[in-house]
Amino acid sequence: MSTLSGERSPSINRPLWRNLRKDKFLYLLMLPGLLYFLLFRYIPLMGTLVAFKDVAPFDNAATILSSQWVGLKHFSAFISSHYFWNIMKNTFALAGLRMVFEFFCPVLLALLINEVRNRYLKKTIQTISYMPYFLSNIVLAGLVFQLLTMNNGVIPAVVESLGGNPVYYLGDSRYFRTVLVSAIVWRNIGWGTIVYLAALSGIDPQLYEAARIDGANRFRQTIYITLPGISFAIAIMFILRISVILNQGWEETLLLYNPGVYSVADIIDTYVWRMGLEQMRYSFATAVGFFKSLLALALVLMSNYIARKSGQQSMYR
Amino acid sequence: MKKVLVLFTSLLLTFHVFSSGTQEVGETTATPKIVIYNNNGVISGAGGETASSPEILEEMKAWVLSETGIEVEVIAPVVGQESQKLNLLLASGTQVDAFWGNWPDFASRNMILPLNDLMAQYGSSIEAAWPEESFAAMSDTKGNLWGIPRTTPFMGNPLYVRADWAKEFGMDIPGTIDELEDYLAAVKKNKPDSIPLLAEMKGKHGSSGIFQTFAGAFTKYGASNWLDSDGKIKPQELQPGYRDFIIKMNEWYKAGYIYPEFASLNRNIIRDLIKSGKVAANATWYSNVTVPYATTEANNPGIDMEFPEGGLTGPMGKAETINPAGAEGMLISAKCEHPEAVIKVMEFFYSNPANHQVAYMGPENNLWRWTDKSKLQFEILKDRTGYLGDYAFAMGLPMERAVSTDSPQMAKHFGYLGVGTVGSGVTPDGLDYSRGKMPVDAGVVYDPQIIEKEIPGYADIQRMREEEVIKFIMGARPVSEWDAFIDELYSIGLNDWIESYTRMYKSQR
Repeated sequence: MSTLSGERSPSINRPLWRNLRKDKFLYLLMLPGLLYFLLFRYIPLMGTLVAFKDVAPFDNAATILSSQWVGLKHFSAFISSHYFWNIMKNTFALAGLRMVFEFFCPVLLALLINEVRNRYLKKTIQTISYMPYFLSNIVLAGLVFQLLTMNNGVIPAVVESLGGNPVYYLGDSRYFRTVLVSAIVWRNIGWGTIVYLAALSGIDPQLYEAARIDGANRFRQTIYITLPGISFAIAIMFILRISVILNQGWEETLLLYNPGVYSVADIIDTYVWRMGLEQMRYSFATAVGFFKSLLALALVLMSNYIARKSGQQSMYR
Repeated sequence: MKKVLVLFTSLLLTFHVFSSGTQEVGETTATPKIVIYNNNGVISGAGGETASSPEILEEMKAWVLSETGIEVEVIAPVVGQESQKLNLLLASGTQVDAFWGNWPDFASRNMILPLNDLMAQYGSSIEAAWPEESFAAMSDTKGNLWGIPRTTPFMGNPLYVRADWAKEFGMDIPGTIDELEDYLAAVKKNKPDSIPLLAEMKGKHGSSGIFQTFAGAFTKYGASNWLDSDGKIKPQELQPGYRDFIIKMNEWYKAGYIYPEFASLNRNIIRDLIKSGKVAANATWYSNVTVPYATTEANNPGIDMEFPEGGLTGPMGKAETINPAGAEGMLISAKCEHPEAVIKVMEFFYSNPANHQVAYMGPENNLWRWTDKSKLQFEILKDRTGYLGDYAFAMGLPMERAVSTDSPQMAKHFGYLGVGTVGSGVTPDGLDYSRGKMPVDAGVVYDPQIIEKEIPGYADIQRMREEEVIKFIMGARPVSEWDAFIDELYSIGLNDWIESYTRMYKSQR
C-alpha cells in the first residue's frame, strides 16, 4: 500500500501476523465481508465445472465432480451458433449505449446541479432525480409498458397529437434500444450524480476565484477546473462500471423484450436465461455465462491498463 | 468500549451474512410431509397476481391432513414465469415432491418417477377418471407412466367475437375468414376505440392463439407439424398454404385489426383488455374470455361474446387446431421420499368430486355452498377472493365436469367445459372436435435429450421460427422473403430437425 505522495505506510513493513495482532479488531470487521465473498462468490465458482461437463443440477453435487469431462463442447456450440455474432453485437451495443448515456449523463447532471446557486432548488432537483432509483425493475417495466401501450398509452397519444404515426415502440426493433436505455438512464441518473457531487464539493473555491480574475467564463471554468477536479472520480467510476457493464441491464431487457425484437435485444444474459431456465440446458448456459465472465475480465484489465497509461487512478498496478 | 462495539458489529454482520441464506429445518415427524408446486394453471387462472389468505390455506392444509393423514405444503407459482420458477426450485434443491410439466423434459433427465406400480396400488379412482388417450400421452413406448394426466384433447382457441356488435352492424357471427374480415373492417370503422382482434403468441398451456385459431383455414393440418408426401414430419412453416396464412395476418396487422402488442401479451393484460369490453374478436386461450365473463358483463351491460357455431372456416376448411392430449401432467420428483403419499392425496381428490370441489373453491360455505350435495350441485356465494385453488391438484375436465351450478358467476366457463354434463351424452363445446383439426402427430413424444443430441442448431431454429414469423406478420420483413426465410432455416439445420423428428414420429406410430 502506498500513500498518494508515494511514501510507504509504516504498517507495510511489519510482518502480517504482527499487523493482525495489532489491529485484530479492525481485521475482524473485515471478516463478514470476506466470508460473504468466500461463500457466495468464490465457492460457487466450483459450479463453473458444469460448463465442461454434461450435468443437470438436479443430479446431486457429487455428480458434478464424478461425471465425464466434455471439454469445450458447450463453448464450441455457442461460438458456432447462428446467432453468436448477433448476441455479441447486442451485448456490446447495449453495454456501449449504457456506458455512453448511463455513465456520462450523471456527470453532466452533476455539473448542471453544481451550477444551481439556490440551495433549496438544488436539493429539490437532487431529491427528485434520486427517486426513480428506488423503483424495482418490475415497476420500471410496468411503467414503460403503461407509457407505451397502444391502448391509451401516453407516448403514442402524444405522438399522434403531434401529427405522428405511433407504433408499438417495444415491439419495433428500430426503437427498442432507445426505449430500454432511456428507461435505465431515467432511473439511474440521479443516483449516479452522488459521487460526482461529492467530488465537486472538494474542489478548492480559490481556483474558481483565480480563474474568474483571469477572465475565464463559466464554461472555461468547467473545462479547466471542474472536470480536471473530478477526473479521478470519473476514472475510478469508469473502471468500476466497466467491470459490471456486461452484467447490468439484463433484467430490464428480459422484462421488456419479446421475440419480435430479439435481433436487437437478445444479449448474452437473456440467452443464458432462455437456455438455462426455459430449455434446461444448464451446462450449455453455464458455458455461455462463463464466456461472458471472461469477456468482462478482459474489459476490466484493458480499462485498468488504459487508465494507468493515461495517468489516471487505476484499480490494480 | 470501542473494542466491544467493534466486536459486536462484527458478530452482527457475520450473523446477517449467514442468516439470509438459512432455511428452516423441518421437524422429524411420523406424518409424511409432501410439497407440491401447483403450476397446473388453476392459480394463474384465478388471479395469481394476488395470493390466497394464509388462514384459509391453513384450514385447507388441516382438512387434507385430517382426511389423508398427510401434510401437504403448496408452493404457488409466479404468474407468467411458472416454468422458470419450477426450474429454479428444482435446481436449487428445494423440496418439491410433485409439480406439473411435460414429462419428456424431465423423464429424459431422470428427474421423475414412473408411476405404474404406485397407480396400481393407490390410484384406482385416478385411473378411472381419465380417458385412455390421456394416459397414453403420459406414457413412453415401453409403457412407463410418467405422470397423472392434466389434459384431454381440447378446443382451447375458439374465436370469440362480440355478437352484439355484429348484430349492431347488421351481420351474423362471422363463420368464415372472409366474413371475419368484413366484421373486423366494420369494427375498425364503427368502433374506433376498440381492439378489433386480440391474438396471442404464447399463452396459457402453451396456447398460441394467432396460429391455433386461424392457421387451419389456410393449411391442411393447421398449426402443427405435418406429414409430407415424402413421409417426413416437417414444421408448420413448410406446409402448403402457410405463406397465405402469414400474408393474411400481415394484411390484418397493417389494416390495424391485430392488436400491435400481440407478441408481448400476458394473461393479466389479455384479461384486462377483455374485461374492458374493447375486444371485438379474441384469439387467445378460451378461459381468458370465459373465466372473467361475469365481470366483463358487469362492466359492459349487453355484451355478448360468442364463437361461430361449427367453428370458423377458410379456404382449407376448419380454422382451429385442436389442442391434443398433451404430455403435460402431474409429475413426481425422483427425489420424493413419499411418492405413495402424493398418489394417496391425489386419489383422495379423485375419489369424490366433492373433495375436488373443496380443493378448487375452498372451504364450504365460504365462497360457495352445496345446494344439493347428492347431485353435486352448488352455488357460488361471492367472488373468488381469498382462495385461488392452491390445493386443486385434480384439475382437468374429468373432475371439473363432475359438479354443476346455476350460479351466473362461472356460467360461461362451466358451460364451455360442460360442467355437470358427465353421463348426459351432451358434447360440451370444449370437446367438440368437429370444430377443428387434430395435429397429425398428436400423442407423439419428442424427446428433448434426442433433440439436443441430433439437432445441434435446435435453439437457433426455434428462435428463427419465432422471431421471423413475428416480423413477417408485423411487416418488419416483407413476405416476399418467405422463401429466403425457409432457406435460412435449412441453412441452420432444418434437415437435422426433419430427420430427427421423423425418426421419433415413426418409432411411435
